[in-house]
Amino acid sequence: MSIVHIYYGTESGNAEMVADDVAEVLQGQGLQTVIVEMADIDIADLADIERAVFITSTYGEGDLPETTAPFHDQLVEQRPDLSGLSFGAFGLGDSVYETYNNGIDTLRSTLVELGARQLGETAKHDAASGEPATDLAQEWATTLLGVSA
Amino acid sequence: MTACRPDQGSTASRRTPAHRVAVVGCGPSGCFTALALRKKQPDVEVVVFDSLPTPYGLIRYGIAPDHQGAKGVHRQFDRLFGQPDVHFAGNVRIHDDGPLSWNDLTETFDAVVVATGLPADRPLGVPQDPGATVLGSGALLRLINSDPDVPARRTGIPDLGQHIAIVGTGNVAADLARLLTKSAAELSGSDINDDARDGLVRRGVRTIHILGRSTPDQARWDPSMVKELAHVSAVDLRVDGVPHPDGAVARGADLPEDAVVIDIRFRQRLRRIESADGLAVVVTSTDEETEHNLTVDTVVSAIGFDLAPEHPVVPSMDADHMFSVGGCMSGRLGNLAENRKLAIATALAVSEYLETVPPATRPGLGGLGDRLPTDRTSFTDWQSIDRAEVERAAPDRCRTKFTSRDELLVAAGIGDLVRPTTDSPATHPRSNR
Repeated sequence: MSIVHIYYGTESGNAEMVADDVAEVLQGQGLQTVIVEMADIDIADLADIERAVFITSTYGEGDLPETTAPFHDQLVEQRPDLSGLSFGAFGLGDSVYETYNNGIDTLRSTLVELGARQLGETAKHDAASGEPATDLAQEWATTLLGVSA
Repeated sequence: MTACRPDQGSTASRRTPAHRVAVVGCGPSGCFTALALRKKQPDVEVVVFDSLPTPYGLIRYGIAPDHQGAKGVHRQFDRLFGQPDVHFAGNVRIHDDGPLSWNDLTETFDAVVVATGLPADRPLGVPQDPGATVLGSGALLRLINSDPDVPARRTGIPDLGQHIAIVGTGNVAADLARLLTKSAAELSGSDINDDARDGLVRRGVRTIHILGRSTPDQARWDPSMVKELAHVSAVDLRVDGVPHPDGAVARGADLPEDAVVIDIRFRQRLRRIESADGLAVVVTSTDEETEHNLTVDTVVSAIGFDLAPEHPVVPSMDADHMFSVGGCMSGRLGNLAENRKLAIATALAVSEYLETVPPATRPGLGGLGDRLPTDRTSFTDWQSIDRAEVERAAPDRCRTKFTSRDELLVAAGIGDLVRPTTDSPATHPRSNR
């Protein structure tokens, strides 16, 4: 069975926690997972990956966080063929700011442009809601791959 | 750094920890360090000390009470303290003149990480007439965040008056200006200390001058913070005299009659603060020749933070198993993201150091015996405090914090009583000061 790669880009660590949450759910479904920070992704490897989850926060004025931005820049520059990739997208943001959750939208549309197929809806956690991101992550990940627990 | 981190399985068994590490200061830097260290080395026991009975330092007492989303970072640390071999020891002061010294820690732990932050407001560094009221922004934010140790808790909530000058253009200046001007409705869902906030603005604020030395581009605050300030319903925000593009005037929004003018001025070099008739006169200059006088009720400094005057340096930092992290290392407060990076680097250094140390040779927390105060708080105690604060939340508030150490300890089930403990050999009176 193929491994699900869970990629996260974070500023304050919340997206990393969500990565742990998603991994736990998928492992509970009998899947193998690997968690990688986006800064450590080798773009050349990405074309061979079948299933992945991308988790990123939004930073400042709707920008990608420091650990997501270089990865996104490389995608845009190298334009790998991602037609073999299916992915889930999870964003973290804070609706105190206008540009709440722009980060994941930017990344998601680039992945789709490169041929990747999105699984399910983009999950968007709003920190200002006061609800734990973990709750949303667990709920979302449970149905993401259409595998019954 | 490795490119790939295999997931931690759920098979972790209880073993004797290989090493024991003390982290002093349970603010974000201390917690991020503990978290990164445990991820790197899951068999390390970590004890995070704090002088307050509650964990999370700046997250609880520094981040603005209307930025609950930013405070949500604590959930990462809640999870950390839920792990076996990660302990919180609150209400414990480490001081060379007290029962528990820095030396005690370095003898009982394999490594000690100092994460005591920058608790003091940086002085303005210009001549100040003692007749002028000059307050620190950090102390004010801690007051409206219910920090039990802030001096105004004892001396009374200061009256900031109707005209205020804030010196500094960082996020703390923006936080304070916003919190002093938001309407009750705009503070809905926060955990602001209403008595403190209302007391500070008891006469109704009319003008807040924000004075920055830099150009607009070089200001330290995040542009999103200024935008947020521009959207406060009662604020007429101007920058060097011009209405801010996101402000009420530019948006064509109605301003209430008691609107507050927030007047940001850049390129203002602070010269001195004089006093006249009980008011403060802020003297600035934009060039060498011309000085400008601004008369206000109160001046607030917001130019950064320093080590506490009573702890100008951390003792015995030359020991090779002592590490520092966060503000007390970098000399600047920074944001959570910056400090998380510093914490990851420090955790890596600690981890590399521990590889050179034989395992299981130092006793850790247990080795401190009765040098630990009996009224220290555990993470479970904090969870009791947390629940009690949420349960007693005032209408439209997400929590109502306790404002004194005594109240916090009572909520923790400790109070003035000597707590029966399972891991302390003998009971004795409160020993920490």
